[in-house]
Amino acid sequence: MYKLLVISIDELWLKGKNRPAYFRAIKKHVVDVLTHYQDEVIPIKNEEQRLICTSEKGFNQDAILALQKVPGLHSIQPSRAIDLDLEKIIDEVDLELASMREMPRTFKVITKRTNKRFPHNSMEISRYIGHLILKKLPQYKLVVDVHKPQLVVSLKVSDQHIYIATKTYPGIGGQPFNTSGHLITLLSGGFDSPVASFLMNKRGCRQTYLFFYAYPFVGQNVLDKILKLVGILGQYQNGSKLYVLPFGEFQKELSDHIKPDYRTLFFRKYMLEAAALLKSRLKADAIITGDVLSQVSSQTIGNLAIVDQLTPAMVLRPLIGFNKSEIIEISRKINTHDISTIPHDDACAMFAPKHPVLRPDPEYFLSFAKENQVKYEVLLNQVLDQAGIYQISIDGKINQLK
Amino acid sequence: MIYLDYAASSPVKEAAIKVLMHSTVNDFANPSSNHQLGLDLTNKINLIREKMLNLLGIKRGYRVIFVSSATEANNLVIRGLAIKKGDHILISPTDHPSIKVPSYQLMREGINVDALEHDEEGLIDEKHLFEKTFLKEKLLALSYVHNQSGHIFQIDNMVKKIKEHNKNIHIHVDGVQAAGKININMRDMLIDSLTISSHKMGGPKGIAALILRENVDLHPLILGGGQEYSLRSSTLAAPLIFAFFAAFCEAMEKKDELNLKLSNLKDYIMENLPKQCPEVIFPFAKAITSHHILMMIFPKIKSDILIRHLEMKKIYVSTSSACSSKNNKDNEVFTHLKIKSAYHQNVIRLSMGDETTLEEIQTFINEISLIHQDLIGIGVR
Repeated sequence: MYKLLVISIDELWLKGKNRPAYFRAIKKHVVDVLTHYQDEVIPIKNEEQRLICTSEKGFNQDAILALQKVPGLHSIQPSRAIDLDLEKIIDEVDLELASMREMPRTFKVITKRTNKRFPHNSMEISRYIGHLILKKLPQYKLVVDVHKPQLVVSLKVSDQHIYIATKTYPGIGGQPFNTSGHLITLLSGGFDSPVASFLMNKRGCRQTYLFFYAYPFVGQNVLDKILKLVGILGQYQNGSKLYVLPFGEFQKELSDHIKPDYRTLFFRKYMLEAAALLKSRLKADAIITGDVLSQVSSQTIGNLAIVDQLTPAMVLRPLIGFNKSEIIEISRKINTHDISTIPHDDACAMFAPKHPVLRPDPEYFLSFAKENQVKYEVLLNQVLDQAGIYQISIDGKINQLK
Repeated sequence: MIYLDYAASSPVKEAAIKVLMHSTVNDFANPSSNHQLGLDLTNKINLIREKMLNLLGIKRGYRVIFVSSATEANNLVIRGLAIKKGDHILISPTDHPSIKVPSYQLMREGINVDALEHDEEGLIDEKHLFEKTFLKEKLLALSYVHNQSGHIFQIDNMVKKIKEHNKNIHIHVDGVQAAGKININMRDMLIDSLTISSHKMGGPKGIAALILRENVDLHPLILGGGQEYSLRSSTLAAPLIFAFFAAFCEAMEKKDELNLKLSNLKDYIMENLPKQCPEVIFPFAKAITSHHILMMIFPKIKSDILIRHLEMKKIYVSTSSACSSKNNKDNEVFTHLKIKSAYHQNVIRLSMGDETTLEEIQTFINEISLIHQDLIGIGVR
């Protein structure tokens, strides 16, 4: 097991004066992840644009996998450290190779040098170490391939150490958690909303998930799906919450009072309004939905536009220009795909008319909303008061609070 | 609370609870122990075996094998009989999974599993049955009373005819929904094994019995100390056995009285529910089904939505429809019972028992009619 992790930070070069704050945020998240998975105090040192973490026990695989989900990290390298002496590198490479289960046949050395006083530049170091590996470690029968090497020997020359790594775990990159606002994320159980949530994780948003639970029209199996999904999505956050709003009675009440072909549109409107109310209660900044333009009839530009007119909050739609295949590809990568495919009942579909309105009549829609503003705001607040609340821990474990 | 799901599990009878509590405290010894405490328990259990056989009309020739559940009993027969590669067995596609799933396992091992056919009323197609069984089948598994539709299959006549032509066939009957409800007189029924379960007749869970003809050889599923004629090693759960027996006795004692009540209640529903909810369909005639089970179809509303609305009123019934509108696969059991595929997601099973009252049934009728009307009103699909 490696006792050293070298973590590279993504997008740090974009930052100017707020670099320290940015660094603090990312460090806190890394500390929290490592404390959770390692069960020991992990000293973390800032070195230029990197975090150097050391563990007495050695880092376990779960900790490394969890770090891959920390927004803002470019990569994680389990490493060995030596003094600033190039001759010592070869023994460490030998140890690395000896511990490999599958022997690579081709390799390449990549050097990054932040210590500009070191007497050799990166190219020279790479060439020299490559030469040494061929000469001093002939037993591994390695050959150089600079284009598609099976093994990359990565060297990082800092002020005091040279770090040697042969494995690089890519992070999700982007911005650190909790540096880009607090969002209310609408989740449905399909493919889109978990992917939308994931994308905004990369942009450093803290998220509170919101699910509209249309019991008794839909059953417990839908809620189980949502809990599984937030168990995955919550691992990109540093502690998050899920609100489950009992919405069946509200949908029924609403259906009794509106034209049937406007049902889906009004459900959408009032879901966003409920999200906006929750946003105000939690002093959050905006709402995320998984909307994709024109994917279904309620997502026509006319429908999205007219609902947005009445939503008293900013609505982010990170998937608006995505194709379904692109969304599904991401869902596979983040492991929400297999949960999203579990069949579930969809209350909106249950109430949906055969031919939902595509070009809503603004007069009817807006005047109904205006006339009933007070009534439904009261009802939505009642629904929010009755919400079930779940806490999601950094490792995706879920605990019902209310 | 109005509980109308007796076919899934019944409330435990007071007599059974009393026996269970007393016996749990006092009968802690291991019946297999060689000291007096153990011997006493063994004797008591053996006496119960005899009495249970009597309740089923048997004087001799059968054994009672206590097992943990009806599923285990069915598995013990299907997996335990010496059925060889290339042999044929016959089951119904409408059978309980505890018969179907082990049979499918045999199929993977090279045994031919044939399917019984059902006629338009959902009853077993006897002509087809005889064609099959007179020739080559090694095992026939039948349900006495169907667990979802309540059909009473005319086991007695069928079995006799089959045995006239094929003496070697093993006939296994799943009597879980029948025992304690209808008269089972096994003495001259010629069946080789019968499964009965405690918790379906007001006994505790975790105990069931396989009534097995004495000369039948089975491979045990569980090996160990050799209890239950070496067919089911495990320390005998004396308190569960005693409580099971207490429930069984009471069920048999009150069987006729209960059947009369349930028959009346069933008449009442079939007469009054359509008055308030004209859409309801009862797919099977009362004359061919057990009084405690009533299947009904609400063609316009999915059954899972109905049962969740009922559950909000603390009324509990059952459905076996798929959990999702997107899962549009037909239900195999319903298909073979000849229920139209369009109705597969609209089936509700109501099942009653000794604590069910007319008042409860009236409430059920009122509530489900209101809910139904309401859901149709808002156009839920």
